[in-house]
Amino acid sequence: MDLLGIALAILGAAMAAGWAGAGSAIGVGIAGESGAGVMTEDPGKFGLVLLLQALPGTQGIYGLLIAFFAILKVGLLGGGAEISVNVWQGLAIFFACLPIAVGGYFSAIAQGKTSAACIQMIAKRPEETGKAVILPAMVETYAVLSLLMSIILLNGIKL
Amino acid sequence: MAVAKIAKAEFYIHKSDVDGVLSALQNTGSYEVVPFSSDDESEGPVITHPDFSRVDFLLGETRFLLRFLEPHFVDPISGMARSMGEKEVFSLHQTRDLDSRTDIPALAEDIRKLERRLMEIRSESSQIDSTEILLLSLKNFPYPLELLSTGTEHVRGILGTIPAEQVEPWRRGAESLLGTMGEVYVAPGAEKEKERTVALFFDEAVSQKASELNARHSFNRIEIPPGLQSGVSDELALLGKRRIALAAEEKEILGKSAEAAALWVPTVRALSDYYSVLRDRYSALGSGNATDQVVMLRGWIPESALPEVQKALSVHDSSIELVLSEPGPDDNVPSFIVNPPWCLPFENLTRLYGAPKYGEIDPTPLLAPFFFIFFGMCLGDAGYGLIMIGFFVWFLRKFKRMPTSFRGFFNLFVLSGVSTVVVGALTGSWFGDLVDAFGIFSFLRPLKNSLIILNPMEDPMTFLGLSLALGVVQLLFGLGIAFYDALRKKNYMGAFADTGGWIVFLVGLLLWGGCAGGFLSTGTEPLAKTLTIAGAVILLATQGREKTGFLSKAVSGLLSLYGVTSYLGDVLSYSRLLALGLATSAVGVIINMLAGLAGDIPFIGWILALLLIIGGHIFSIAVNVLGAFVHSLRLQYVEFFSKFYTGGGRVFAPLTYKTSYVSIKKEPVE
Amino acid sequence: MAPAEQYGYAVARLRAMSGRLLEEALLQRILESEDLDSALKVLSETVYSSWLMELKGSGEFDRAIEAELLHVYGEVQKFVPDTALVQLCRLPYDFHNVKVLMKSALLVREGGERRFDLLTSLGNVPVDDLIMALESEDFRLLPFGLHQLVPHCFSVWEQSKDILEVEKLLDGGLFSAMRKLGAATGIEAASMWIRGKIDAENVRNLLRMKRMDMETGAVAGFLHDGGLISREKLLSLFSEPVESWSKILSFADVSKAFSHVQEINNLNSLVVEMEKVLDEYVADIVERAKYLAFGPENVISYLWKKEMEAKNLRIALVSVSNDTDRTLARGLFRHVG
Repeated sequence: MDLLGIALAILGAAMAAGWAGAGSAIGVGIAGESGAGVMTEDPGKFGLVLLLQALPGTQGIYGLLIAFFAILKVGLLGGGAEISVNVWQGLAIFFACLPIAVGGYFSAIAQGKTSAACIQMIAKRPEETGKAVILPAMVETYAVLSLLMSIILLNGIKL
Repeated sequence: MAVAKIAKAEFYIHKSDVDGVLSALQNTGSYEVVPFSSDDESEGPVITHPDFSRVDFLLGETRFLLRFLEPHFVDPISGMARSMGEKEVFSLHQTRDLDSRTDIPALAEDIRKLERRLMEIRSESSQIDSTEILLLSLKNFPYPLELLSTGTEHVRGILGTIPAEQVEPWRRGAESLLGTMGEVYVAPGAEKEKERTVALFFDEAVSQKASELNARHSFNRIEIPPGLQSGVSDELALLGKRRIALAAEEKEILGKSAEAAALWVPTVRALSDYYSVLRDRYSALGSGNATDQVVMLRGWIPESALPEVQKALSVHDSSIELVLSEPGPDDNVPSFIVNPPWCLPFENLTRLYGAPKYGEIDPTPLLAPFFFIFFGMCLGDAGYGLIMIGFFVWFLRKFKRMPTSFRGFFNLFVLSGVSTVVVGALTGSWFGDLVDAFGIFSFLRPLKNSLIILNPMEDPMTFLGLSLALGVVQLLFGLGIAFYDALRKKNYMGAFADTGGWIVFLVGLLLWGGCAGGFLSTGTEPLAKTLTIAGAVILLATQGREKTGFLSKAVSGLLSLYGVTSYLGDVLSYSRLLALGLATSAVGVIINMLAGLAGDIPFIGWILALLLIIGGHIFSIAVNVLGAFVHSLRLQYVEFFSKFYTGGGRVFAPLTYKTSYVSIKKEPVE
Repeated sequence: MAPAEQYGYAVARLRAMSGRLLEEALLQRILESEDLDSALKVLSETVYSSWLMELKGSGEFDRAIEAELLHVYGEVQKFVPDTALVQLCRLPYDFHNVKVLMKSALLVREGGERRFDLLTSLGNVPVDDLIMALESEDFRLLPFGLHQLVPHCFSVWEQSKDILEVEKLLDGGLFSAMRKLGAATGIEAASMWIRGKIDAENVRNLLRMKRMDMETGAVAGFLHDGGLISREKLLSLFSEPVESWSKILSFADVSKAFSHVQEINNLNSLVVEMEKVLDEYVADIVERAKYLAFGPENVISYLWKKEMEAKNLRIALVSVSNDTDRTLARGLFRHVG
């Protein structure tokens, strides 16, 4: 029974890192395509484009973070003592990982699209860079909220 | 300080002295010229400076020269340093001197010749390339090419391709049609090729028939350049020689260009800037108005700069008349933002959003403390903060003549670094848990631990509470500013009913919540209830005031209370302070942990661990600084500004020395 | 239609490219130049400079404009996911070339010289292939329905000897080919754009015929199907005075074009003015592209603006070289922004 608990916790960690990472990959990819388009015409914009392309990448980091928290909690890392995790606790950890897995995945894609549009915006109006950086950050709010919820939930699970 | 007072300034200048006055004004850099609007009745024709067309022309020429020469120029100052303000300094006298000594049109003529020749060489080489490919495909062609290109007195030849399956019918057709009057050549080709290269030779008399034959067999003609006369291999050799000659000439021209660039680029850069300064000055004149004797300029001067401007113009006193007045309500007044040194670095943040309108509140000093704290909380690692401070201070020292906007940003990052160090020290995060993770740092542990007041990794809920509390403070502060602003503008209804009502209502709700949660003594509960109800009543009574009819007034008032959810959302948004702060330290912890695991690998483990620590933390700094900056900024723009600030002003843009390559120094006013 | 995500690169690049469209201020400067040489000097500050270099004389500026357009078409064709969109914009040039070649062929039949000087390289089908097909009378491989249309045109000519009839057929063929191509892309905006373009063409034709005082019966043949306004409606317009057209057409978007026109009493100047206004109307149809970060309509929008830029440039340069009234030319500039 103990093993199933651990496995569920690992499933949660894997989903957090996997889905949030996949979302970020898609988002950064979308933004990168637009960035390449702008830079073909205007290579001088590299710095700005890179900045905007990086924005949807944070979800992947958030996911990784939660994954680490989860496996730390069940003692899989750092060579700490084995902690016994029953099925219900494992399931709870799995559920706690869901916010960042789901929220991270979808928000990263949406943020990638916004970033792409903002990259297109600075192609036409380079003087509006400040605003272009803020718009994708509006989307990221929801990834931050998901991250927060995952942290709080993990924190609340008693082993 | 905020948005400085600006005076409307009208100059009446005698025509004889216009040049002197304008250059003095440009030198002070404190006067913005506004064009006379078209619906003003004009009192004279638009004036163009007699020198304008010359300067405009020369500016075009210098731009051309720089476009061509700069790629050949080895700049002693790197492009990075240049954009950081490391430029040659000229005085206006020096550039004027250069202008009289340099014959730009002649230089441009010379360079144009170089460019044209280079173009010709390149197009000829590409032509040679294609001819060569053509000739290589005809390698075994036995006759002189003259037959195909120009033809001899009687014989014509045409070269082309036809589909492989057409070759035989075509050959037979040619034989029957032309008999002895023609000859057929089929280039050797592989069996599988779909197209074959063929040639047909015939007497000029039958050319009509020949082209009919070709058309019937889908013959696709290949043009042979008329220059090709002798045999294929001879022509190939000739082409080779020509190519070598062209390459030599190209090299020579490139050498000449590099020489010219080394000799001329610094001068042309200075001149280009000189001309654009003159052009600015002349177009300022062009936006004025004139009578026979007098030129009229209209514009804005910040009141603080008035004494300086008047002093600078004292030499011209006899020929000018300056009329100052208050800006009218219809004027589109630019805003000249003045801030005390401590919040100068934050001015860029306001500019990114949009400058305040004239007469509005400048939010810079108001957002500065919040941004400072928020950035620190979002990044929240003392080690990263130290690195930021070190890096940006080094940069600021290296480039002392940085343009102000860059300097502002760099100072902002230094300040942010300071705040990060403070927050990091208080939460005990130094490169994540580097001090705890590795034994060699154990001597630092007591020092580190003595500074900690709260560890968000262990007690996130307290930190969350702190974040939300800061949010409440900033939101109420924002509402307070709106209240003050409305009072200042004598909009009492807006002050007391709208913002006032909300402030009372929200404070009441907070107190009530505090009592219910047991944080406050029950003694405050009556006060809390009174405030809440009073606020709600104010809102209920006033928020429907634009509606007609009692019922719709009441319904609008009631619905407005629903706005409390947006305040709730705003406050929750501040939870990102915790999330981002945690993310930074957690990423740090993960990096250290991985490094620790890698350190267990025998022999090379410590190298891997070191690489992981250095690379990982650099990556973490880059990502987290970006996140901290963007999110702290967002809290100002979205949550804070929405309470009181709209922006949309126009920044004061005086007539000054605007240069792109060198800097032109201001001449001191005696 | 390619999935929207694939347009990220293309749209970003088009946005950057459209930042380089000639601004009105530059056109003004060209217009204010004293002679053609100084006008071309102004132009050489722009993307046109590399083509201007290759010109042998300043009178050949048309070649530079064509070279730039060809370059842009080639570039855009390389990176756009649906190349049919570019083909769509180039299609009118194919039909133009066919017209030129056909007239030349007919001239030859009448014993005249071949005339190829009006051919343009901007079409989809390489000029050489077209010449080849028409010279050898082997039409089988011609795309866009031309393989049937061209022989049909020749036979019509044989029967009627009416060149106008042939042109009418070719114009009809162009629009039906455009509609087919547009529908095949599956992009709704493309179809809408074509329908608007047909409307614009119909209105333009109606105005011209009105100016020529043509008989009502003959008008129907010059109208094309597939626009937003039905043929019947358009026919009923013809008998009305031009002043009331905008009211009758008020249900259709194209009526917006009429509101720009003030001077309606002079048909000659109206026809010229309407050319401009209708071009801008066609641009407006895809103007929504501005808000779509992944919309294929951006391709059409950009290419059409490039076409209008070329027209503006021609207007300006011709005006400078013939030294005609500059304000007249200024009034004809299409808004490119």
